[in-house]
Amino acid sequence: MGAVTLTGACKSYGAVEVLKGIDLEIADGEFVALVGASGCGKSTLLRMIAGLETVTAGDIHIAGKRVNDLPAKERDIAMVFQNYALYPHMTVAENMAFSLRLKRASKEEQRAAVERAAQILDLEALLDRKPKELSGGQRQRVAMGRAIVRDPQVFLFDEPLSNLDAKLRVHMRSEIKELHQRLGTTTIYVTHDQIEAMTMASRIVIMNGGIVEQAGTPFEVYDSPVNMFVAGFIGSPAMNFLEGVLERSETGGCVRLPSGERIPAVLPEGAVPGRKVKVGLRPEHLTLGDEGPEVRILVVEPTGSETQVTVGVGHEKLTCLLRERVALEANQRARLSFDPAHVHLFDSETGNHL
Amino acid sequence: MIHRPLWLRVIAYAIAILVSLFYLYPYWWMLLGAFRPAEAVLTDPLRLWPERLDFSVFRDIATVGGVSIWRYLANSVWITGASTILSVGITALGAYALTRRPDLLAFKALRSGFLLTMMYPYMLLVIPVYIVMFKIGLLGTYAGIILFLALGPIQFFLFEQFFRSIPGEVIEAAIIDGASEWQVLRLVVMPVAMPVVATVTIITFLLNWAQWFPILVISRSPDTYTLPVALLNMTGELGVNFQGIMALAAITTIPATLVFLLAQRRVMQGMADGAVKG
Ligand SMILES: Nc1ncnc2c1ncn2[C@@H]1O[C@H](COP(=O)(O)OP(=O)(O)O)[C@@H](O)[C@H]1O
Ligand SMILES: [Mg+2]
Repeated sequence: MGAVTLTGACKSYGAVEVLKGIDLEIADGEFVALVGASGCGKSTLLRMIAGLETVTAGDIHIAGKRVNDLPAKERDIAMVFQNYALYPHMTVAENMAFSLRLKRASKEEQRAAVERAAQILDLEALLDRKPKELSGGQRQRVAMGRAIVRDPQVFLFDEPLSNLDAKLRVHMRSEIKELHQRLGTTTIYVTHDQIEAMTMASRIVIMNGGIVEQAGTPFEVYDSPVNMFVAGFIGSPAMNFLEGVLERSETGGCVRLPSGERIPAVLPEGAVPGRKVKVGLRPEHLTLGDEGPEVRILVVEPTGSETQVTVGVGHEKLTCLLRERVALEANQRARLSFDPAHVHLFDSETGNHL
Repeated sequence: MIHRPLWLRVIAYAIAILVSLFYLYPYWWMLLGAFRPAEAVLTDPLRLWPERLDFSVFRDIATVGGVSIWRYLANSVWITGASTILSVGITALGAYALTRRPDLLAFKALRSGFLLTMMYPYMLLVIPVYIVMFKIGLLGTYAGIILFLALGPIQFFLFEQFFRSIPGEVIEAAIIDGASEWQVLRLVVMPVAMPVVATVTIITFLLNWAQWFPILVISRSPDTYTLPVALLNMTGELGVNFQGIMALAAITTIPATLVFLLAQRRVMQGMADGAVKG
């Protein structure tokens, strides 16, 4: 039904190539997050799916139908914009009923659809207000209500929570997720916030400079990033990267850092000792113990539930995230231990995962 | 509200009233001049109240330059009204089209054209306009005058600025909701633009009501003169008839003043709404 397929989708503005061939299959009912730094082309891709931008090359299919040349209103999609884009002169009810009014639906039909959406989103008390009499969160809800009333094949969200304060954002996050579970409509959700993407989506598409770096479930992209970009983008605090050289040891393999310290690692098949690599270590996978390379404590930042510790190894700095409370102080010495299974190795040239 | 001491408010109001009187006095003086005999005005020019009302002036200005005063008034209403409606309609739609498709070459050319007419002094434009009007046979016609006065670069740029302030996403949301280009304009943009349209209409009316030079140039006889043209052109004829000049000046300014007073709240609101923001 509401499956979306992109094959080699490209977009250029004049000589500027914004999207360089996007291949993506989104199954019916899936919640997919497009995530990437600002300017990587997420909005452009979403707007192409919506029919607000032309497709320079490639194909877009919605529900099995090629929609490249179909105007937006015939694509059976609904979009929620970052700035809400409510009709300022219409009440909440009129905003939500607008699409039905254009379809010449009967007044009863309009009222029923608006009431249903208002009930889902808890907007019943606000139906007669104008957008300027609403708070940011309420406006966001109305924008979603307008989309629900359409009962479309696909929901498109373009950074819908960016204009809300942090607390409301977390709340709306779970509300949108709940909404998706309830309605089961295919959803494509654009965000630059990887936490938003990880928490909400069943699948994450990580974009960078107009291409898809990796697409996968939150755990896939977290556990097995295909390259350094994805590894550095997903996870907070971000993954630590160190330079090193592969070595064989009795226990298997390790990486020798320029400072001479050794980090145990599972060497990939066919890895040649002496090869230069980048080592990726997630802060939450580092522990301070009695074994391993010696490090110097630089900064200790407790947050209550966990403690973030910055340590120095040679000339490099590493961030560690410790679950347990530690009695550490700056300039103290400690030993850093690793689980070899959680040590990521990347080609130092291409940045690809080994 | 901040509560200021009474004496301060009294002084503030007193100053405001004084300043208002200072600006109102010339108008009052004009009205007095229309109803006082010229000799009386000359001997006692600063009198604040007429010694007696002298209505003889209506006979003097019943016809000016061989044309009835009613004709001038009708010309003024017709030319100003028609050119205002035309001007607002054309510039609003043109500016809207431009903001919807800024990439279209023809629209860009239109914009540059308006900009160009603003860069040249008005007087310099009048000669080519005269020639063009002559060539297309509109010299001395209402159509010629109305067309020229409908040219509204200021209105165009006011509208352009306003339409640009409407977020593109609102229009895109309407398009996704299924609105045609025409429905976007009628159901979304127009209702939002109404205060600004009203403001620009009033500004255009006031501007065009006071126009005289192009009307004088395009006219071939006093038959198509408006009140301001009659006033300026006929001072020679009325000459020493000071009373007549004052009466004609009053008739010319009063309708515009009334329109402004009735509409000023609206104008201010429109300006606050972003018509001439920035
Ligand atoms: N209409 C346009 N003309 C030219 N360049 C554009 C246009 N729209 C977007 N771009 C460029 O395309 C790139 C991607 O933009 P966008 O899709 O908005 O990024 P994102 O949503 O990921 O932040 C940006 O570098 C932007 O400058
Ligand atoms: Mg964007």
